[in-house]
Amino acid sequence: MNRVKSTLKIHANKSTMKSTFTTFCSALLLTALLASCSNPNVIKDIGDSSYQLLNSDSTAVDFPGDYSGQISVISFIYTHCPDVCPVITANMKNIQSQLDDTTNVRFIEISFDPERDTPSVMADYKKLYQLNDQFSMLTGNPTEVDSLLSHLNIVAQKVQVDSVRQDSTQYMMKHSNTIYLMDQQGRIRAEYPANLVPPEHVVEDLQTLR
Amino acid sequence: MMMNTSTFLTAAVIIALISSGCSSDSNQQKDNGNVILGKVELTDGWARPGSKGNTSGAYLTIANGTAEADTLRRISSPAAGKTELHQSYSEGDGVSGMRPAGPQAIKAAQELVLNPGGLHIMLMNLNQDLAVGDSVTINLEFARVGSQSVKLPIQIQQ
Repeated sequence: MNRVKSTLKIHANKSTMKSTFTTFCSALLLTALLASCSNPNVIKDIGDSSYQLLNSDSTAVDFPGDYSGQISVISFIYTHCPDVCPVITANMKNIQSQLDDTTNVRFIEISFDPERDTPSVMADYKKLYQLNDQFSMLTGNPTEVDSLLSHLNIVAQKVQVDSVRQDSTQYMMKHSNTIYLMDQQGRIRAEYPANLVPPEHVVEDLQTLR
Repeated sequence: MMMNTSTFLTAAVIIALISSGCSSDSNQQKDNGNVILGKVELTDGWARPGSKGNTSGAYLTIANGTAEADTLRRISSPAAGKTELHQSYSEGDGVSGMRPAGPQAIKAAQELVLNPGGLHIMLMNLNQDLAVGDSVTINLEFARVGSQSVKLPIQIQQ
């Protein structure tokens, strides 16, 4: 009789354990699902990479290492672009202004025209467009910048204008129109059409990374 | 009947003379010596900041208030080494670019709108800094009404 009771107890314990385990697994799955719904997936991890760039004050920047521990909103421009790129810059400023708290958030604009966009040219652009110190305007050695752009799947091609073909410095660029959201570990977590994305969409995703 | 016709012609001539007299000079433009009633208006203009040696973009609305089509043939600015009309475009893979747009025909009573992401004036090789608070003069040359100038404020797009 006791043996029967004991057997029943073991079965009951096994049943309870099984039930607890199932509940635990379900909760884990649900948590993972909820996290994946509210938290952007990793698109690309560049945390282990290191690109030596220059800021607009000519100081050296290790990208993305120098931005570790911060959330970065990253866009790509060239200063000779009079139409699309200023719209991208305007959108970056709008994202900044819609954030109630910009602590530990950086706004990074990387030139895909490092030949013309020297640090001082990037500094002029930063000043003329009234960008504050939360903005980093990055450029650098063309080979290094091209390597970074390639790693980030950013397209940038020179296009010569017929009317000024004789002047090799007067070219335009066909380029990606992209804003990336990079987390504290150097992982690209979201991608947006830079001149079209409503700032609040970026702000919403950014908040999930805090 | 002869009397009626004569009266009608006289009245028509008087009305034509009065109409001509009422038209202000500002509503008349010359087309190879001919008077054009109505005018081409340039409104809502502004230009982006740019540093010396770099590039800026300018935007405005051109309204053809005359009775016939006109064509925007050339654009220039004393602030730039070269000035052209360009068109921005987007490709399906998220890539953007721009290309020269060439002369633009504007039908009678129609507008040509230059705005961000579309048609825009390229001010290349600026010979001066253009900062917020400054202004830049743009000269537009039309096939019929001739040259028109407009001074645009330098602004940052919000």
